[in-house]
Amino acid sequence: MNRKVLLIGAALVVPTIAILFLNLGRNPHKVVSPLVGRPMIEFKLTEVGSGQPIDLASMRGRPLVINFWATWCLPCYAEHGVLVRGARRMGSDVQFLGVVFDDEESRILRFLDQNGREYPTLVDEAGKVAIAYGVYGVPETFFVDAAGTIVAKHEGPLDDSSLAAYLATVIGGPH
Amino acid sequence: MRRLGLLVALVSLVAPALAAQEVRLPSPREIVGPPRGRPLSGAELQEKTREVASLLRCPVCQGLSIQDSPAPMAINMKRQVEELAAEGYDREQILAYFEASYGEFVRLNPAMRGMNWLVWIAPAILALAGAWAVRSVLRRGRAAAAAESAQPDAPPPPDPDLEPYLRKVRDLADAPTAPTERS
Repeated sequence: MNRKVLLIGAALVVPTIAILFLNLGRNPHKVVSPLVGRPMIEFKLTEVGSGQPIDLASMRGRPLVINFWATWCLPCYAEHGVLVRGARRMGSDVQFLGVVFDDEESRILRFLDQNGREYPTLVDEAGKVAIAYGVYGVPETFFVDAAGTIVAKHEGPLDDSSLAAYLATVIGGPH
Repeated sequence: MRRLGLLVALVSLVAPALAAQEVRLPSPREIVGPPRGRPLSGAELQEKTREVASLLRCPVCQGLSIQDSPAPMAINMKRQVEELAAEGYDREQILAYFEASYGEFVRLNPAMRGMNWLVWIAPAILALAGAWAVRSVLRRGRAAAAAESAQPDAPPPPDPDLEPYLRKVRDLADAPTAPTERS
């Protein structure tokens, strides 16, 4: 009987400890995006200010950085500077795009006037693009390679070094 | 002429706003196939929307469905659920549509597939194991009580490990006692 109890106990405890051990150091709040490794979802949105529609399909062939943000998001302020510097540094090698949702155009324009505009910012009024990209909160950034495949997603604000590391994965080599 | 000027001014004001509504995304049909149900409207549509929205997790909330959340993101998602239901997409198709973007995490109830079966059957297995354990303990207790009542004063069975010592003690007890010298 003692042996039976021992076996049942081991059958319950050993897998539990194994699962706990394998997940040590993993952020339980981090959800892996199912979009990574898949072709980017193409969309067409209007640019803030100019009112011109911008179609993602027309940007194929160039690595893309798609940043979801909003003016009510505090970390987005610091991150915007990082993205502006990155876009300036990369020039035409990488196309940066900002997608703003749940916001007002006048606020967005004021934000861009104050914090710089180096790349197009698009308005996602009903949040459909954000939903299609599985955005949980802002800021979130997707990195797309020249073949149009989403290679990475970053949740939270980017800093210069993390942006450079992501750019290296989409374009190849250190930047 | 003045009216025409007003009309032009109005159009120039409204046009950017209308243009801003333009969003072109892949059709849900490309993601989950053609609608399996019939297009809904009115109360039926509201009911379907409520049902599906209560199964989808609000991505920016803590454990709330998009049906219960007042967050703008949840409201946008619920609006999309309504659009999909109106087009005739069924519950599973709508859930799969959101899952394609957010992953399985967006489902409040994990789908019954793969390792998820464990989540569904583990409680039943644990309940059965618990019932079995309780039953065996009770049976053992009842058997012990029955044995005790059958032989109330019977001595406990001899322990074979203690037998040599017992024999030695018995031998010593049976042996004649030798006279001892007093100092």
